[in-house]
Amino acid sequence: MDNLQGNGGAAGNGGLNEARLADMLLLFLKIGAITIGGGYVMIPLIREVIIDKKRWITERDFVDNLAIAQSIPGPIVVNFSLLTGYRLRGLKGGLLSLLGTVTPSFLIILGIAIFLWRFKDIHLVQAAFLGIRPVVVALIASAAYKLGKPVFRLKRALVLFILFLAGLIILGVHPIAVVVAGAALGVLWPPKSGVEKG
Amino acid sequence: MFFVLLDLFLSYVKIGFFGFGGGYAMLALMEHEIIRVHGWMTMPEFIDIIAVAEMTPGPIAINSATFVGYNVAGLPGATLATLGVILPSLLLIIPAAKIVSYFYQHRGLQRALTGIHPAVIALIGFAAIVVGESAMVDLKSWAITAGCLALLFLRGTHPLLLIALGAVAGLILYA
Repeated sequence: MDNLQGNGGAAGNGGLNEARLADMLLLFLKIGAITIGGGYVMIPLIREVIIDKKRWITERDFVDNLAIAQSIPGPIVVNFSLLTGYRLRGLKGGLLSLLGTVTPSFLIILGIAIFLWRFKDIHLVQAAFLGIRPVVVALIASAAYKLGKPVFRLKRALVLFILFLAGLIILGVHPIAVVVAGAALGVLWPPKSGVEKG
Repeated sequence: MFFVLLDLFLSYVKIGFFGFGGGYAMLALMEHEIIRVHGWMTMPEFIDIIAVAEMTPGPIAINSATFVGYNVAGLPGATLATLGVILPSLLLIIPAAKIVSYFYQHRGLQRALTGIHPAVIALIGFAAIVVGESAMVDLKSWAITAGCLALLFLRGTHPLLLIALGAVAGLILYA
């Protein structure tokens, strides 16, 4: 987190506006409804609105929330909206923000599953999906590459990665076991120079 | 039906609880639970759902939970799977916020995260391989993947545009 120090400290709490519950729900509904491409697209948009436009939160608190959202398990935007709402307006704020984030995607997917999925057996649709599937492979591979690039600057992380990948492919290790082993190895075999950046 | 719903809910609680690193990292876990353990859908169906999740708004983990839940057990399935994947966040985030300063300074936790990061990336890499095994079935599909990787890295093409191009390529090559 390079901008952890940000400008939040200087701005202090002085210029912040209070967030109304209805506004929070609306904001997350809107972001949940328009952002295609998952969490990493949603976060910058949320940032723009709640820091620059609405002035609900300082840069520093925003970055803190994001770091926590990424450190605990679960979908990152779910964690993030829950935490941001909670810190702005308590439990009610957290639940409403979460509701806003989840509802649009739930309804849209439900609509597709109910009304559109029946067309998937049509020959042309199947041909299109045969072309789309290899695209999905590329998207997942590039996500691994993007996340790996900063992490693998440390050789230790690269060694662990190769170890885990080999375990998954060759030994068929359970995905949960890989996460648990990662946590255990992180504690037992800590990086030499303190802690690497998250 | 009751047991299918319970299974679905518990599977997604598991996916949420061990799903570090966001949606893509959860794919390996979902594949394990949904295809290998329960046989609720086939690999190609699962990939198509990931593609749909990419094309629609919202977090991918939520999209796929709703979709898989619906396909397995209708509206109750969609609701329970979505609630299941959210539940661990609900339980964990507020304690995490309460102990925020402690959370940052805690050496053990920071160390654990240095091991979890490579594990998460390995899970995403593994998801790419597993998805690749059933998506890259012939020379044409290999060419599409290679072309997409080139566009992603050299031009930073938007994923949505890539999916559209993939659909067009599919219609030309396979229809």
